[in-house]
Amino acid sequence: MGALVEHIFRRESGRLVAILARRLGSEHLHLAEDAVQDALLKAMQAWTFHGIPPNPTAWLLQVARNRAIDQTRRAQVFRGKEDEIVSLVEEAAGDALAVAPPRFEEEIGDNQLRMMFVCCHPGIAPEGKVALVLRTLCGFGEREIAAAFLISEAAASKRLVRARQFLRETGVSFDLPGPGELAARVDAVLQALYLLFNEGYKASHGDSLLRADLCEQSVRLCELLVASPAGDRTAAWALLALMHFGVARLPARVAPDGNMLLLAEQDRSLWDSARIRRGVACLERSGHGDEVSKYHLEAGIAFFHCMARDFRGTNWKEILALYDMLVAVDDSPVVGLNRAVALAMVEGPEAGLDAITRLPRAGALAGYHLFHAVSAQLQSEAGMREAASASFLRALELAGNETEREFLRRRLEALDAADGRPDDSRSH
Amino acid sequence: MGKEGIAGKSPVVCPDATPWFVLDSNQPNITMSETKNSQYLYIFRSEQNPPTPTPEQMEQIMGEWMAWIRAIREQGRFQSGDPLDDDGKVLRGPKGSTITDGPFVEAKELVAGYFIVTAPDLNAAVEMARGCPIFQRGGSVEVRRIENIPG
Repeated sequence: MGALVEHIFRRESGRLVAILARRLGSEHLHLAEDAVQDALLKAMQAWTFHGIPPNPTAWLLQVARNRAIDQTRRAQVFRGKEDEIVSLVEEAAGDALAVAPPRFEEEIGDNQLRMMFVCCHPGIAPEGKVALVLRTLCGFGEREIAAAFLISEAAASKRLVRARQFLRETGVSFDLPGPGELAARVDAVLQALYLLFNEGYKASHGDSLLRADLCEQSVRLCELLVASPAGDRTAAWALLALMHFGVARLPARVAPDGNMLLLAEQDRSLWDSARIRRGVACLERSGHGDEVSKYHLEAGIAFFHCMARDFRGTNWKEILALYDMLVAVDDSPVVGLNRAVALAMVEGPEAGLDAITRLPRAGALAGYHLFHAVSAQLQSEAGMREAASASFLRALELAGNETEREFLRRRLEALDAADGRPDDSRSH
Repeated sequence: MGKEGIAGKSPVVCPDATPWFVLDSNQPNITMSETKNSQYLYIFRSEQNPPTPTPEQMEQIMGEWMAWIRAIREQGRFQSGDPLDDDGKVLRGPKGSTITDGPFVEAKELVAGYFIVTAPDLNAAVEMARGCPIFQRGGSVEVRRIENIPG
C-alpha cells in the first residue's frame, strides 16, 4: 500500500489531465478534466477502504481512461472520429502503464510540459493562462483559484471558461512550437509562471499555506521547463533562481502572530540556506549567454538580499545598479517605486522621496497603498512627521486586507511613539 | 500487488486490518464476555449530486474517513465495508418485471456505502457512528442490528 502522499489528489489530477488531454486534443480538454474528476472520486471511495495502491497514477489512469472512452463514444462532438480518439486514449494508457517507473515519470513530465505550452498560448489572456495552469497542471479547484487571486469563484470560473473556449475553437496543438515560434512561447510560459509565483509571494495575502503552495507549484513547473531542451534558456534559469531566492525567505516574512515583517525586522536565521544555494546554482546557469532578461535583474536583486548577513550589511549599491537596469527594460511605476527605496538606502531618504515625485506615470500609483506606505516610511526617516502620518493614513484607507492594515497601523503607532506619545504595543 | 490490483477491483486488504475472523463473535470457540457482541450494519447515505469536491477537498475527506475507520479497527470492532457505485437498478413487481434505474428515484439521499461492525448493544453502535465524517457534509448513518438466527 502506498503512503498518503500530501496533495496526492491534486498532484495526480495534474498528471492525468496532461496525459489524457494530449490524446483527446486541447479542444476536448473538458472531457479529459471530467474523466479525471470521476476517477478521483472513485479513488476517494475505494482508497478509503482498501488503502492507496502502490501506483496511484496507474490506478487512476485505468479508471480515467475507461471514463474518457465511454464519454468519447457517447459525445456527439467527434463527428465520426470516435474510434480514432478511443484508440489514441487506449494507446496512451497502455503506453503509460507498460513503461517502467523512470520512463513513466519522463512521459508524464513531457505531457505536462506540452500542457504548459498549450495553457500559455498567446491567444489566452494572461490571467486565463495562470488560471488554466493552476486548474489543469496543479489540480486546483475553482474555489482554490478564486482564493489564490482573491477573486470570486464566479470570476475564476469565467477565466477558465474563456480559456477553454479559446482552446475548443482553436484546437491548439500539443506539438512543441517550432524554432520560429519557440522563443515567444517560452516567454509566455515564463510570464505565466512569474505571475503564478508573484501571487504566492505577495506578503499581503492572508493564507500563508496557500501562498507557499503557489510558490512551490511555480518552482515545480519552472524546473520541468528548464529540464527540457525547449525550455533550457537562460531567462528560464534566471526565473527559477528568483523563485528559489523568494521561497528561501518565505518563512521569515511573517511573524508568529501572523503580522507582516519588514525586511529589516526579519530573523535571517529562518532563511532556507539550502534553497539559497540552489538559487545561486540556477543563477550561474542563467549566465551562460548574452541575454539579460528582467528575470536576470530581479534574481540578481534577490541574490544580494540573500547574501546580506543583516539589513544594514546589504549591498544597496549593487541593488540600486540592478534597479537602474530594470527600470530601463520595465518602466512600470511599481519598479520605479522599488528603485526609489534602494536609492534612499544609498543616498538617503530625501533622494528617495525626490525619485518618487519624478516617477513616470505616478498617477497610476495614487490608488496603490504601498506607494503611500513607502512615501510615509521615507518621510518619517527624513523627519517629516506630519507628511508621514498623512501618508500612512492614506495607505491605511487603501490597503486591501486586514494583514496589511495591521502592518500599517503598527508603522503609524511607531511613528506616533517616536513623537513622544505613549505606546503600549512595545511594552512587552 | 499483482497485476489485477491495478484495476482497483481486487479485494486489497490494508496490512494493518485486523483479520475479520478474529472479530467474528459467532465463532463458538471464543469464550469471553465479548461473545455477547452483535453485528451491526451501518448504512451511509449522502446527498444526491452534491457539489463536486476539489482534489484537495477529496484528500481531506478521504483522510477523515481513514482516520475514523482506523479508530474503529483499533477497537477491534471493524468487520467489513465497501463503498457502493452510484449506478444501480431497482426491481419491483411480479418476478421483478419493473426495473428502474437506481434505488434513488424518489429519495433525496442515496446509499453510498456500508460497514459491518461489532458492538455490545445498539447504543454502543450508535455512539461509535457519531464519529462518522459523513455528518460534516449533510449525510446520514442508519444503524441496524444484524439478526443472527442460529441454525
